[in-house]
Amino acid sequence: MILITKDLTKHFGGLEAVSKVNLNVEDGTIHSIIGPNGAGKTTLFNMLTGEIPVTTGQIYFQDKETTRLKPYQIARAGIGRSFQQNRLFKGLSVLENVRLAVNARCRGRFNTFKHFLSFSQPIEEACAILEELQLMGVAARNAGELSHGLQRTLEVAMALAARPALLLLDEPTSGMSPDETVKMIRLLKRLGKRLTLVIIEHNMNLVMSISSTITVLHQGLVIASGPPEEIKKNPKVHQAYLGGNLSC
Amino acid sequence: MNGSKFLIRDALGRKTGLVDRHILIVSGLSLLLYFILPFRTLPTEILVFALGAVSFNILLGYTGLLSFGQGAFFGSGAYTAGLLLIHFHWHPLLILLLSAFLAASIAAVIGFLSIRQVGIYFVMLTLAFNQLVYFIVYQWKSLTGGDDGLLNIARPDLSVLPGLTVPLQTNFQFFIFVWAIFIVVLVVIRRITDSPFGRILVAIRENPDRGRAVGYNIFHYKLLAFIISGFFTGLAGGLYTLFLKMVPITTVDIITSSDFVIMSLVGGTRSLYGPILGAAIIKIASEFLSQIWSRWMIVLGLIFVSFVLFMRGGLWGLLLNLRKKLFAPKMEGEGRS
Amino acid sequence: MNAGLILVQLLNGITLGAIYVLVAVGLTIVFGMLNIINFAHGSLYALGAYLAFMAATVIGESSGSFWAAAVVAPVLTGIFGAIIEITLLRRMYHELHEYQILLTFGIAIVLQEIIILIWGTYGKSIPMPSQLDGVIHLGLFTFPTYRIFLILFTAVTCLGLWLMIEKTKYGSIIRAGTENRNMVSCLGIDINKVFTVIFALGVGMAGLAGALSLPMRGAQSAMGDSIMLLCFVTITIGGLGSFTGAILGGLIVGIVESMMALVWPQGGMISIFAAMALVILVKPTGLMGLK
Repeated sequence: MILITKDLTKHFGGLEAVSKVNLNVEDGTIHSIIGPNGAGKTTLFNMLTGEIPVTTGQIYFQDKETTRLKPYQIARAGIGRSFQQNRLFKGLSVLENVRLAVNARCRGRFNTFKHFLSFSQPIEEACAILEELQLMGVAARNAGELSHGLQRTLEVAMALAARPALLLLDEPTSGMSPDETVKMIRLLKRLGKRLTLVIIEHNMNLVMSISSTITVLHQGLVIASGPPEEIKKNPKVHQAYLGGNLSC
Repeated sequence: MNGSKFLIRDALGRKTGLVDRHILIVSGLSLLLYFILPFRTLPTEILVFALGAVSFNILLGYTGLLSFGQGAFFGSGAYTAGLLLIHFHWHPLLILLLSAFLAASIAAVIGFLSIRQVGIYFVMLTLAFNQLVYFIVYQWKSLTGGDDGLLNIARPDLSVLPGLTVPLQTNFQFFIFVWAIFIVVLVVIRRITDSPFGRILVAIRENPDRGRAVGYNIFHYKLLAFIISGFFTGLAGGLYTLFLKMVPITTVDIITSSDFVIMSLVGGTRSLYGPILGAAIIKIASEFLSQIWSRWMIVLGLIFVSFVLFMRGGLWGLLLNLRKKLFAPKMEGEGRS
Repeated sequence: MNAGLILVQLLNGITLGAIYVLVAVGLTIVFGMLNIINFAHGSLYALGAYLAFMAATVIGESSGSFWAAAVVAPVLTGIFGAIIEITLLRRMYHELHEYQILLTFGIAIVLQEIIILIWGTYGKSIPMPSQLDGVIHLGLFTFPTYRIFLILFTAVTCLGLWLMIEKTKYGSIIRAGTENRNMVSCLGIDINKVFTVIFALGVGMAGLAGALSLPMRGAQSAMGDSIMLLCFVTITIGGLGSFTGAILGGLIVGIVESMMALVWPQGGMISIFAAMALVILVKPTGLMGLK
């Protein structure tokens, strides 16, 4: 198990946003987290990456406890994250965005003496990531000028820059057109072959087709967890989605 | 990957050496100031304040930190230089270095406390700490002279080699001295902003949360930016003492802090050279206006307000836009800041 | 140093604190609702004082002149604030906070100079209103009536404001508008008008404080700058965006300033700033702060 949470809980004042969540993510799998809005999915991610403090419970990444680590320490430990609302360096070029992300784990990030362009490693790695994500065509454009779909793709690129062992993606296809979604699904499948992915998604097609495990959250609690076929048939899951049908 | 050399240039800009044509142009123009302006001491004062403004802009323009307390660093440097000159007769460069180091230390402390907050809170903290330093200076009369400041400071000559001393007594001699230091410091600051560290500061300005999420300890970088800015601001303060041959308490006042803010904004915060332009314009305008109207600050204030409302890129931004319009097709990656 | 002296200084501190509270509450209302820190708040306090002076002088020597001025000045200041909000501030709501701060900073410079332009650099004052001139006997000591009035008036004003914000329908619109601007607009309420009113209200508080402080402290050209700074310290200590924090912070600053005058006169300002630094280290959001 690359990622384990034990009874992970988050209180916001009187509200329990995440309740005793036990997550077990196997190495090399694609693990999706689904649930109606407000189920606590993003809050869960925020605890995993140290953005918000944990109320009770523990998080273990590669058998080391990471519960109280700060976001930058989590990133260095090998967890990459993309956000529901884009967090990009909007005024900088796409290549610069990824280069900066790569640079975080390279030597020379405190260097004040040499021109940043003399460090070829971050640039080459950034180019490699852009090529893989088919973003080289817009490498020189400012991130803020990109279409929404390309920005979401850039979000994923930023998460990849840390050469993570685990990628946490928060609604990677949100706002994307059907074509862009297809491209993203292909990308995720490719990434899933060499990394572990944990994905929050509302797109059931995506979730059902690529996940090895699905965890369903409802009002902060895990109501079901297992392979897609089981989840599809699970009555509690159907109920949680307001009696809706999960057939795709 | 090879065809992408041009792509990289478009996306990241061009690599520059320590000295390139920009530095040469700025050097030339600033040197010219002495000969163009009808004042003998104003050009020196412009360069000193330009230095302070460029140092301030490391925080605002590059890191996105609106520090309203640079007067604390400028004044610390000025008073350190003043006290050292009065009590010891050390080499002026050594004195400047020590002034810079003291200012950097104070910047480290103030930065450490202020960076714990962001946004408006941060601004208020820097302002309040500036005032704290001001009041300490004001009360500690035995050391600082209080309201009167330090007076009658002798300006030493510059001994370069045993036996070779460069005089710094006339306006022109001192101007060249300040100009030389100004250019050297400018080159250093430029290298810092073009370095990996400098790019990370820009990342912090653009999106600190993303910076954290990719693995940067944002606090460290902000603190380092503070220290670097404080160092060079203190250096400027020391130069100011050598210039005036006294240390008025205004060096540590909020007025000085706001001078740097105004100069940077009017000149343009998104470039290294903008604050230099701003310092020149503001100082020259103040000099002319103050001789016409005692309430000339209104004009300055109105200019500043118009810039904030309509020309946030400052004069530099205006010039860049003009250049884009005149030479439209040829646009290199230099616009990236 | 006897008990009477200490109590007098304490009451003086609360009096000073009352003025700081009025100013700080105004600033907090604007920040809490509009998310703008108004650097020009101090100059508007000064404006209030000078407008009160002008009104009282125009109305002339009569027992009502102070009271008229105390009403006219805040209203005029509020109107002036509304004009600033509509013409200048409104453009900047979607910009970075730094630019909003810089704008109000620029306005402060211009306003400060305008005040000097109109009223000169010499201090101004008006006599105490005859009804409040005199002292009250409080056992161990006597205390100026005006100052008691100031303390009580501030308390009543704050209570009234609090009631308005917490208990009335208009207040709930204001509170909702802070949380979610767009939603309130969708409900058909003109959010722009609400913001203008709030800004005018906050600024009016500063003007009121200025007018009330006029008979007691007079008006000087530098009064805006000094109160601005104290206001920042007040809010840092009390908590940014917190109404009760502004009150608590104002009282603390006033009392510290006053008591220090007894013990270590030169150290007054330094102690205040040291207190602020302590609060930042221990509880960065301020004593009552939430944001």
